[in-house]
Amino acid sequence: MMTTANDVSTKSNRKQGRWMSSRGVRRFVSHRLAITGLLMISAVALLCIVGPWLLPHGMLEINIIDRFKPPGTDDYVLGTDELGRDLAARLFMAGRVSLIVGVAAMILSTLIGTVIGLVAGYFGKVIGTVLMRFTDSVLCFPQIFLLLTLAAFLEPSALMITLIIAATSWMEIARIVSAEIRSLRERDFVTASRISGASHSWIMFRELLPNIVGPIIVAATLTVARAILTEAYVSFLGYGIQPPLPSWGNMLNNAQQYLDTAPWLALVPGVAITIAVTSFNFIGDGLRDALDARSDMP
Amino acid sequence: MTTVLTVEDLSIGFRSEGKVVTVVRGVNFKLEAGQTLALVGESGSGKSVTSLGIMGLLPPPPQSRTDGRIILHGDQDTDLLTLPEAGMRRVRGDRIAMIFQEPLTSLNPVHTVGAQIVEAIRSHRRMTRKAARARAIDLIEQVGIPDAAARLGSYPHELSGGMRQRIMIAIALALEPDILIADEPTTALDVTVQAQIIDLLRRLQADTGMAMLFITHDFGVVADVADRTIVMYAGEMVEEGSTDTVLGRPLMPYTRGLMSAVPKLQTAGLKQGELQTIDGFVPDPANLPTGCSFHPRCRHMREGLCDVPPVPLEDAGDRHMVRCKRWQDLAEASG
Amino acid sequence: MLRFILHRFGHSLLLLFLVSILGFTILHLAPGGPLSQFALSPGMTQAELHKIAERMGLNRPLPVQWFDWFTGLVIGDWGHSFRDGRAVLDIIMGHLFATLLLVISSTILSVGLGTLVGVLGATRRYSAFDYLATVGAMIALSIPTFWFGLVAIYVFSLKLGWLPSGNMYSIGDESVLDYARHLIMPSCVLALVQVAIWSRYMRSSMLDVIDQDFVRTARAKGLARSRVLYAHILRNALIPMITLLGIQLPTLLSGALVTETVFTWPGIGRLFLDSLGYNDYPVIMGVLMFTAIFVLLGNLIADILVASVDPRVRLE
Repeated sequence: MMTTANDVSTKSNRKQGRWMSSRGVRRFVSHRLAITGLLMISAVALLCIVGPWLLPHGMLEINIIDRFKPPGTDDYVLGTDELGRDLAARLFMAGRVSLIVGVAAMILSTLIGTVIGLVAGYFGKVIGTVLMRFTDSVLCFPQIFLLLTLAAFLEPSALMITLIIAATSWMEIARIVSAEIRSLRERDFVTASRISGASHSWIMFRELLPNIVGPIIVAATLTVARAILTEAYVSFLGYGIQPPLPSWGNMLNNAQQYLDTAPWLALVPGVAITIAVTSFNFIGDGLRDALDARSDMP
Repeated sequence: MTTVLTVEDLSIGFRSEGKVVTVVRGVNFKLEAGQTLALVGESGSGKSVTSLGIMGLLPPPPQSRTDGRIILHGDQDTDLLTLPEAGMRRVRGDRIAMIFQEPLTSLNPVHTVGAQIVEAIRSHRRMTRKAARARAIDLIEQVGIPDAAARLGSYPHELSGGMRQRIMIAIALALEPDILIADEPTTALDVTVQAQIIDLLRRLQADTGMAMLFITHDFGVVADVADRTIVMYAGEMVEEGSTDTVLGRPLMPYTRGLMSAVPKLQTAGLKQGELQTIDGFVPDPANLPTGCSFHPRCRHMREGLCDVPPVPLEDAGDRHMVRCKRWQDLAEASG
Repeated sequence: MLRFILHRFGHSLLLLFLVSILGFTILHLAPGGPLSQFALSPGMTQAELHKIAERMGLNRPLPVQWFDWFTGLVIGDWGHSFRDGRAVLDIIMGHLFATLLLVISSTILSVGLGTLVGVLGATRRYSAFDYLATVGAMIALSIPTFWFGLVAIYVFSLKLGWLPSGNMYSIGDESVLDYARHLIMPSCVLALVQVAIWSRYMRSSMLDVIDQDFVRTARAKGLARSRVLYAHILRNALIPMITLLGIQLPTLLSGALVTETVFTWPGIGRLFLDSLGYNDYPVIMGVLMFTAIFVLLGNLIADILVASVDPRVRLE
């Protein structure tokens, strides 16, 4: 009697691991916000990819005579900046940089967080405690302070900024993964694998990991949103992506000076950031409803 | 005997995905002062929903829908179903009190038990805090907790399950209600504590003359407390009578099945060899079988008879009601 | 209770130890490490640098160096600024008031507003308001704080001229009212994200409590709807929110840094950014460590507060 009940629960657990169950997909699709987010970010990405080719001016093309043209003048759809460069061209190129940095930082921090959380949750005891306390201690540092310190100490480049963002944003995922693994560790199918002589890494990556793909994907989606924001913060403050390479953040770097005369310089990149980040937050929220029914957190 | 509550043709439904699913249908009973009526059935039979319906604690419409009449007798009769929320609030706790199954979670963890008793008193009576505290100490003594004055400052987590249920009873009795609804009050407790709580409830009922509506799935408890018994299945009353009759001469096969789970009752109303557990599950209220709701699980089922509506509640004499098309031949066969 | 506090205190000490090791590691990432402050001075020769390194004990084993640095941290000897030679801790304390003023006022704002929105959302679940609040919070979380600040300055200072665009007070007018006028925009801008977070957590904390048995008991006692809401539901729902205040501290401080930059608000965020511009490593490290310790202490206080309002708290 007992064994049957356990078998059933084990099976359903394994099933949860196949996150793209048709039910999950249906719930995601029925989530209007998530679909809106997906459409918005697809549009943004498409514009960033093909946009620069469709525009008459390149992003580095300086036309001092045409400086501070408001949006819609001549063939400058979004106007020009203080050097007379086409804002639209810069916006799309910057979008490429910001999106790539955001996604790359997400991939890295998800990897770091998953491995640390997996090891901490699986081994528990000493290793787990040490790793999680280490995670807690990194969390004590406010992210922007830590980022700026690292960015000031290390040679800033797009790659370095990506690495630094990843290095300061893996903790949440580590916590989620470790908590999930700790609750899964004692389940029958893990014990069964252990008895049948599976190695630790086999159990961790082949048995446990597939069961928590859902929460990881949700957290990863929300991490892209945060990474794009973070890049914008440090670049705005002058320690992120360095000109002439544009990013949405560093486009805003000078905007404050010209706020009165050329407010579109501040408005346009900010709207772009907000749209991109909102999209990922919407998608993450929908995915959470679809894959990770437990929580109702922001 | 004075009737304190009359429930007439009570039906309760819940809205789920646009459809209303009826979970209680055509329930009728009266509560008499000083008497105990037991509502017995498996979970999902509609017994708890009935009690919450009487208390007006169901989710508000349109999420739920209640039809029929629930008449509270007093200086003047009031239909609780037509009473506005403000009036219902004055009835709750004062005229009708309720205790619940889980004493562990039914008390607010962040307030002392004293505060929770005092709050109940002062929300219905103009009384100084001091007087209400004195009354609370009285109540705690009444429910058999020693050192009552000190217990006033205890938090729920500092008390055992049995003690907490006693506090719940003290809260319920604070305003000397006409009716106490006890929803499985002993299910979550140890066997010895169960007996103590039931003794306490019986003693308090004798002292105050209140009517009790006792909800349980346990026929052992029914035999201990109830004057009359109603057996519910899938939202309907399937058998009703004095407890002695229902336990001594159960007519509905479902009642017999439930009773056979209680060993000490086996000799009373059932012959040896007749004992059998009930297979299958309580049907989904959105998708009830036609005819007798119990027929798919009943080993006495006759095709063409039991699965054909209507199945009325019939009088087997001496206010013993049964909802079974075959009760007469079954009674003869076993009698 | 006492045991609980001691336990949390021990936990904080352990974290302080780990934080100091992290900080020490970061310090050595600085170009030239702790020696860099001298390397930047003009006319410094390699030999002289070597001598200074010797005197500073930089040739000793790392654990010994860490111990010295940690001791300094604990006793308040945080080194001296490259720029003006003042003690780092003094400089930080000089900027602390402005940051606290900003952080506390925006916290009051966001807790008040967030609680209101969260409670309304939870009690009217799935209503139009709830839906709007949910979507609104997600968008608010997606707006870059500094950009929101720029837009606010554009609208309220440049176009409408209602509020000053920066600084903490006008020169020559340091009345409370003047401070308040300067405070409005930065604290609202900083509160944006906090309101969004607080209202979401408040809503879900309310929903956790609303379906609990003791709420049914309270209603069965015949209590008024408002009393059930405040004395029973809200009282319980607010307890986990105290912990959230502690958890949100790093986000709040990060937001303060950005807000201070946009509004030239003379707090520690502004100090930090200025010091970055001057490569003033002792101050940079000082502020970094200060914020971490601030977060640590804030969380410890939040834990103790929870223990004092929740009678159930026991050592897990």
